[in-house]
Amino acid sequence: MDNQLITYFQDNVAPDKSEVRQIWGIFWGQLKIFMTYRTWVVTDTFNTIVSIAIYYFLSLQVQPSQIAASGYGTSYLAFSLIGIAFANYLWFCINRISHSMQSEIREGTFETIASSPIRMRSYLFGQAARGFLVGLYYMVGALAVGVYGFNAPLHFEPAALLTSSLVLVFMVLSHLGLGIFIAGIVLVYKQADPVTFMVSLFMEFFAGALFPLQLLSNYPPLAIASELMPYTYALDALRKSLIQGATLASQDILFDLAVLVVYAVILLPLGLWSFNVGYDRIRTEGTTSSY
Amino acid sequence: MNDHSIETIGITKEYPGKEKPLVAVDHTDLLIRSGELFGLLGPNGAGKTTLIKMLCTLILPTEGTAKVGGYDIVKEAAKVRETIGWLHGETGGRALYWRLSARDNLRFYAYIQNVPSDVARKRIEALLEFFDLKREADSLVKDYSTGMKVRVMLARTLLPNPPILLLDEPTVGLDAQTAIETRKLIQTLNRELHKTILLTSHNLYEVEKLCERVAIINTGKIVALGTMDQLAHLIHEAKTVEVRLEGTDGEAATQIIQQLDLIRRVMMSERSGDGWIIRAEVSDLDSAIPRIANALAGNFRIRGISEIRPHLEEIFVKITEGNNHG
Repeated sequence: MDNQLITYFQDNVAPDKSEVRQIWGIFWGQLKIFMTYRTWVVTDTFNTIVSIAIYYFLSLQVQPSQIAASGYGTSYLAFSLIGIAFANYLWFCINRISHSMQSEIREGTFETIASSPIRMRSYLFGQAARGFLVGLYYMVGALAVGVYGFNAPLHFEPAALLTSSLVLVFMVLSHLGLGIFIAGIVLVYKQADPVTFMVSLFMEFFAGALFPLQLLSNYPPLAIASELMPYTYALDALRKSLIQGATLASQDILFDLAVLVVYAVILLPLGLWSFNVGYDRIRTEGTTSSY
Repeated sequence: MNDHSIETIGITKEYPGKEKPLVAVDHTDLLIRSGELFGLLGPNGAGKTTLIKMLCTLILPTEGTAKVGGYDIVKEAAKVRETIGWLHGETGGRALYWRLSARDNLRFYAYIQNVPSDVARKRIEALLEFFDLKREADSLVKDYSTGMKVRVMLARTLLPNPPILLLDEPTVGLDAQTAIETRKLIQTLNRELHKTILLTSHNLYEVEKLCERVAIINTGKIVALGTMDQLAHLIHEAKTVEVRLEGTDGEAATQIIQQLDLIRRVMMSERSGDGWIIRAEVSDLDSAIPRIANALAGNFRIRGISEIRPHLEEIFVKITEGNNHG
């Protein structure tokens, strides 16, 4: 061993245990890995543009009066664009955590992470941060294509953008616990695709991503289910700010934000707790490297 | 840290089986001193990896306790993880991010292993240099050979400078030159930086050369533990002495040796080049060597008389075979 190398290991360095730094580390590494999948990124971007085009042609078939009755303006394109763009975004964020977990286990890196000093919650938040940033690229792209390519009438004034950004943050926080919960399922059962598919379907349907929720009023159980979905409140606030130009001064927006905060406070600790239960289970079963 | 860096007391791991539980590690007691280079050997499926994964906090024991660096592996798992560096060489580089470069892999692990950025930068460059990875440091790991991947894994294990290293097959997949360098590195880490090292390897020569003490685990139990001398004693009731003579009149010398009362049997007597070699099992080594020398003195030219010690490979095979059949 040469002397130069050994000098770097003789110093008694205090470890840097900053949780923010740990989260940044996971985010940075995962983002770098993601950016190596260039074909995948290009294909996904193409898919986003195509799906917006499909909604544009769908919007030509829907009567403005039907949308106006829901209170979100008269453009079905604007209505569905927000519903789908943000649902996809949220879905991307939630799914990323469990998908990353699956590939970490498969590639053998999970055990190295789990035997290192990083806190498991920092690892999960770092993974989520990568999903949120990459998802943002697709979501902003989808909105831009809808607005500038197909003339969807959305409000991009600073106040509306600020409001929708804040709603976006709380929408993500209120669903983060769900993503972490699904990651816990992946740890134990090594697969979560059927669960994630079901959750995404329920989320889009019950929050009214593609149709006004008034249509559910004739079916009380469905209407109740819709009210229990945090995405319902996020979508309501996003549509009000981006379609109607509502700001944080609006009571409706503040109510929606408050509901999202409540969901975040309840679901995040529950998600972390359930993940830890799953983690302890695979440590008991000795399956930290099984896939 | 106390006198023992690794301490297991009755540690046991059972996995559910179809008819009865599968016992991977069975009430194992192990004490590894701080600063010791300790070898753990065992055939495939003997329980080595389960034991190491328990020490890494990746597997929870069914029974018993263990302390690593003075911290309980269940109650103080976070502290244990700050104390260890684990290398699982048998994965052949699977445990790296293949779509990151070697440098980025090390940067990533610096973040999750709490190595401050300025320290990490210097150490990463020094490790890349040492492991001869500098030229390819910015290429993606997926394009590396197995040996290069194992070198990156070694660098990653050393990066946080942990006091305890759990090296599971550290030289697997390495070319001869890098394997030699790595063995030297392991020795240096132990001697100069006083790292406690638990080493497992299928390369028995490596373990014999590096380790002060060796434990042999089989079917989840430690079946032998000690220094090389102590292990050798376990399989040899009598010691073996080798007599090397000049000239070719070995048969006469063999007859004289056979008549000595402390000779149990002559195992070998044959010509070797321009000389003769006789090997005999003796009951008492200390008196055998001078008695043989006296008996042959005057009539034969003795090149040397010495004790023959069995290699670890022989010890390992005898102990594990005996354990399996017994």
